[in-house]
Amino acid sequence: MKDFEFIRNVSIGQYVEKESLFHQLHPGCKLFALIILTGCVLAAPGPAALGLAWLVLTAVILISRISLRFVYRGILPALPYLVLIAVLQLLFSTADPGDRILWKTPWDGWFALRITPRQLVSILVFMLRFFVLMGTFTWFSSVNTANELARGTELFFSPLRGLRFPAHEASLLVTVTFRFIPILAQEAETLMKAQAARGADIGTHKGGPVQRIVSFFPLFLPLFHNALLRAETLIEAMETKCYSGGYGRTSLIVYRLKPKDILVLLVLTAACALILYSGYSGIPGIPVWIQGY
Amino acid sequence: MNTVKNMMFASLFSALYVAGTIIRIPIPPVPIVLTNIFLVLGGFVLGPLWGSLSVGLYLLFGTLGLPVFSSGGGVAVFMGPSGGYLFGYLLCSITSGLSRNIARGSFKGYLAGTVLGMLSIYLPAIPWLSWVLQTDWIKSLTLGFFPFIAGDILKGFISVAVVRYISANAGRFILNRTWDSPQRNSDIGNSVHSNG
Repeated sequence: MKDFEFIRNVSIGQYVEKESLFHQLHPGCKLFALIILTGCVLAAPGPAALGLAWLVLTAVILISRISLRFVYRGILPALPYLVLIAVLQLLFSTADPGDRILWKTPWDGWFALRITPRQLVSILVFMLRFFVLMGTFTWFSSVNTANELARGTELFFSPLRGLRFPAHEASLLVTVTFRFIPILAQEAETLMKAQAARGADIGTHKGGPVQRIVSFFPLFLPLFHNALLRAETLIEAMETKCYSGGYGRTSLIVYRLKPKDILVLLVLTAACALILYSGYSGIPGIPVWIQGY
Repeated sequence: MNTVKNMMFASLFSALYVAGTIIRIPIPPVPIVLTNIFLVLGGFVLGPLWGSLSVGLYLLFGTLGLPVFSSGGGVAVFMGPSGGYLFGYLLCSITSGLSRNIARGSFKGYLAGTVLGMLSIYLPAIPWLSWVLQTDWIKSLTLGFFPFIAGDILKGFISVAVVRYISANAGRFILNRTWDSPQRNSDIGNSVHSNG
């Protein structure tokens, strides 16, 4: 049954309706919070700083009243690739001459392996970074409705409007894509169940690789065709309503910055700055390898 | 050509690229993703310019850190061994879009577009792989090209079949025909029943 469930594993792009501090924030402010958190995670030098960033993110998620299980469910489908990349990194990164060697294969030349602490730490950092980034984005999409996301993106791009950058159109593209992803996954799920109910070999784990790929054809074609039709309906609706781009558009809900928006941003910025500072200057009492090389 | 139409189809296709990494055919050890079928089809539907824009949107999501690539997300993926494939994606949609424009709707044109599109993913990918991993060409080919050939040939068949079906039954999506086609409602029935 597990093969049929895409949507359960796609937590990105799903809004979770709750009443919390973060749900009520100004959309631009939420986007800024996302950028600060992402920047912090990308710049964090080692496992210790990433761990701290994860703590901050967990606090943010809990304040938003979203369950941690929902946030991290989306990571499961990516696990095989993560493991593959980790193995590749282990196989192909070359050890520096001065490093301590933990384990090595008894032969040299082709397929010879040397495992050093530096390699292990870099794999750990890669995994942790992915984990925290994933959580950050899932959190972001679960506290933003489609409209808030569009407004946030538009505000973010609006300084570029002077350079004739189509800010409104860009934000529309981003929003529509975001909303299409769960719809498509849901549709694939429905189609798979429908075809399996008619006796298709989907999810039975029968046959060789060739047969399995071929068995996906009855799923693939309706999915693609329905997706095209769905986009066409959307376009027709937009044209019927005389959609004509961003110029001169007004919006029903006007967002204003409140003191609590600024307060939340300040607290987050301070926390991230502290993490980065301690990450780069070193935290006393913690072994060097945890802090990163 | 209509901008709203192109915009919405570009969004749809970048969502499809993401969905292609979510919907997997479970074959051990590494499941097969459908993204490159969608890339070729995206080129056919959108043409080179908007096709590459939709891939650009998809890559932008990945750059921002969204886990939309099969190997996760973030700037690190671009720099890693599989980064070349992402540039290859861009090239793939340009190639298949151009071949659509050149070979207006002929079957051979779609076939050539699919083959060239699939191959052009590897064009930046293999040099990138050998540069990042500091290995020779043969080793990076065994790692980054040969394991995928069989899957790609099958995926190529699927995408040629899909494009033939779409151009026969809903050609307005591919051939830039007039927008309001008379046989809209019959399409939905056909797509589900004729391939059950």
